[in-house]
Amino acid sequence: MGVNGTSALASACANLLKETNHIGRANNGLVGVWQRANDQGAFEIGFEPEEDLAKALKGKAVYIVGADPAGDDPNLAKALNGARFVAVQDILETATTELADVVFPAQAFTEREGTLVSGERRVQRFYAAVPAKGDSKPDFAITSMVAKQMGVILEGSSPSVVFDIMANSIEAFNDLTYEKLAEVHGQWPIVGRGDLYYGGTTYENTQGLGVQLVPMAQAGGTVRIPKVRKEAALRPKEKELLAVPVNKLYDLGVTVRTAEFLGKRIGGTQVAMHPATAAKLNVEAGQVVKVSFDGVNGEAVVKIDETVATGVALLPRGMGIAIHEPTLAKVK
Amino acid sequence: MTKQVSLTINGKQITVPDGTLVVDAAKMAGIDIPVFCHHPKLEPVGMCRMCLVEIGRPMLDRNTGQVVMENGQPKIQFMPKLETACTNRVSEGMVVMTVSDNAKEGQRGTVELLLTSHPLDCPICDKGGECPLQNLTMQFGPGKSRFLYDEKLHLEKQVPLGELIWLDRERCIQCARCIRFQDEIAGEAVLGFDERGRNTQIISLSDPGFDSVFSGNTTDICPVGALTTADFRFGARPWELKAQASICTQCPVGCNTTLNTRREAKAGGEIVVKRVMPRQNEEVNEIWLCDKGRFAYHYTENKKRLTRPLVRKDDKLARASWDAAAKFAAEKFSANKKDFVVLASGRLANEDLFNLKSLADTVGGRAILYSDMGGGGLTRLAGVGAGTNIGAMGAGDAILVVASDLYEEAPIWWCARQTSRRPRRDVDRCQPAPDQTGPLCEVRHPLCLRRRSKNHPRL
Repeated sequence: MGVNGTSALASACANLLKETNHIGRANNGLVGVWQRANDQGAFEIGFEPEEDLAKALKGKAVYIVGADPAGDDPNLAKALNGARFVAVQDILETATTELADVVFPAQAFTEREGTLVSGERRVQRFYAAVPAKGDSKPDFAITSMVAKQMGVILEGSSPSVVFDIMANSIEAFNDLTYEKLAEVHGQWPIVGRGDLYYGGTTYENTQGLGVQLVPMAQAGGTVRIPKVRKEAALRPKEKELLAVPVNKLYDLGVTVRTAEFLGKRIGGTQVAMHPATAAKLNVEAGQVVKVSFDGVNGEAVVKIDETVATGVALLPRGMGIAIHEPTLAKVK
Repeated sequence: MTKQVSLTINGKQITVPDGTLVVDAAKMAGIDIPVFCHHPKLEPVGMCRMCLVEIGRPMLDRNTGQVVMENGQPKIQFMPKLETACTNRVSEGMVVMTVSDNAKEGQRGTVELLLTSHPLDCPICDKGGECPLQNLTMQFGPGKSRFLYDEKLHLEKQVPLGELIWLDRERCIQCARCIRFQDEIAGEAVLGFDERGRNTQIISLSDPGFDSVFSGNTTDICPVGALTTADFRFGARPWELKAQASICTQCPVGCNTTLNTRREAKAGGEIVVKRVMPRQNEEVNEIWLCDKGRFAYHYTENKKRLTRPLVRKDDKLARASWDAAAKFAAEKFSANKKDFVVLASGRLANEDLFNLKSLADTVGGRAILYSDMGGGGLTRLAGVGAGTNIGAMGAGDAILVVASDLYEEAPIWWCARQTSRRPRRDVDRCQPAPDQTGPLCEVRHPLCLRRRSKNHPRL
């Protein structure tokens, strides 16, 4: 589902950087433009994505936290319906919570404190601003509750203590504490309530600038980059197109569509193609076409774009058509 | 080491890097010169005339080019007219007077002129309480107006520039901060001036209106209540709001935000988030936010928030107690240790993910990240070094963006890349504390930002 392809791409980029001697220093290196805010943190902690997720879920006892696979992909919904047991922990009702055996209500980031790691590997703190909704609890506390019943003791009261335990066990985080992350120093330009005529109504930073993690290359460790496994490129057959996923800032993702405020900016699902491709398919701009691949069906409005290669169709993710990686698709 | 220049402001001798604007130099020395159109992150234009000060420079002999001395000190030649501090760069031996009678007269006159056409909207204007015009009027303005109220110019008052930003044409003081921000920093010149004279007004040049994901920032830098967000319009007074630091959770940039909250009757006596504002972190998002981060926080208030644990009974989800729900899940997991899978996404905080990983590891299950993108391990090895600041990169540096559309996926990095493309002087990156990341022009720094799969046709 795109994991192998993107991993290979990352290896290729890392090799380029290593061979041109552009790693191990500030302003040099690899930055992942991940799909979600704390994917970097997940990688640091040891989570790994799975190429065939449907296969990995079928027949298992699954603990899903902060994800909506059933809503994103009908193939994953099918896999979850064939799972042995599904517990879902999230902040909002989703298609996945609808099919769960147990649902745990979690607190939103506005209601609790914690840390995130940005794509540039900066660890930053966020603080609680409003009280929790209903009976919801912070995610780490819920996991601690469940774990306790399984005979596993995990800290469930203080996020700061969880962080300390984590910093102790993950090398890159060794020197970090909540206090360190809350440190600030003077910045230019001078902004703040007293200086809003000068810099605007932005707020000054009094609660933490965060700390960037040091990559292995900078810490003096050896950097061994996995070899890139070459694969044959996909070649569309006579009535097929190569559908390539692209991203939209405003999509139907759970943290955007439920905001309602940005509703008008989301727009509809558009499939972008070169005018020659459209001519070959006998479609024109604005026409609704059916797109299908791997058990996924959807409709999209044709958009003509001369910068797209012929034979290729750009499909947005997060708009109802579950495309994960470049794939051969039929467009009518 | 950049050349340092010494000058005197209000009798105080200070030393600043060469090329600093007088208004910025004064700010560094703790002296406030009032401004409206000037912004430390924008090119100076000298449009509003609020920063009028008296500037004198050492007099040079026409024939010899030497400094003329008087009583052992360089003779200072003051310009016959007031000058704008925002467009003049410092020079050696300059003398600036910001609170002399002449300067005060100039500043007072400018405020009076700005107020002649400004509507008496303070009681209903969102900016009240955090309004530079209000503050500077109190500090520098005349106590009374000599202008007839009935002759004030009337223009359109509630113009939606797009559905997110509202414009009030009467309040606009034509400082052009919004137009220049969109042009210089956002790189999308979707705002412009129309008409001329006092009728000069802001218009949106795009369709749909104000088509930029950085539109919210213009409401931060607008010195009056001309540009306001539809989200916060008539929402609350700034002094009623509590500020709490947070991080935007929408994309991997990790912009620093401030959540403004208030307890209100409208929400049933609950404390709610009234708006999301940027928080300064020069190395991450400077003082900007994209619209997604600024407006999409409402998802935390959606009616469909889960509030009680639920357990499936007779094929329906029914409310349960925390203990019952946790026990039920735990029993099932314990009974299926060999087939236990944790599936989590990057929407979670580190603390949440760590507990989940600890549980998965202890039990012998798998910890899967819900994502289409792999390669995270490589960033641990070859990620950017500590001290990285994309916005500080400049001439001679390279940013290679592979299979990613930064504008859609990480807008503030797109913005930072825009910023690094502009020709800049070292002074724009100066800080009060001496911990810069080094001179810009001598460094060669490629940075590789990557995403998506290999067959992206645009590469």
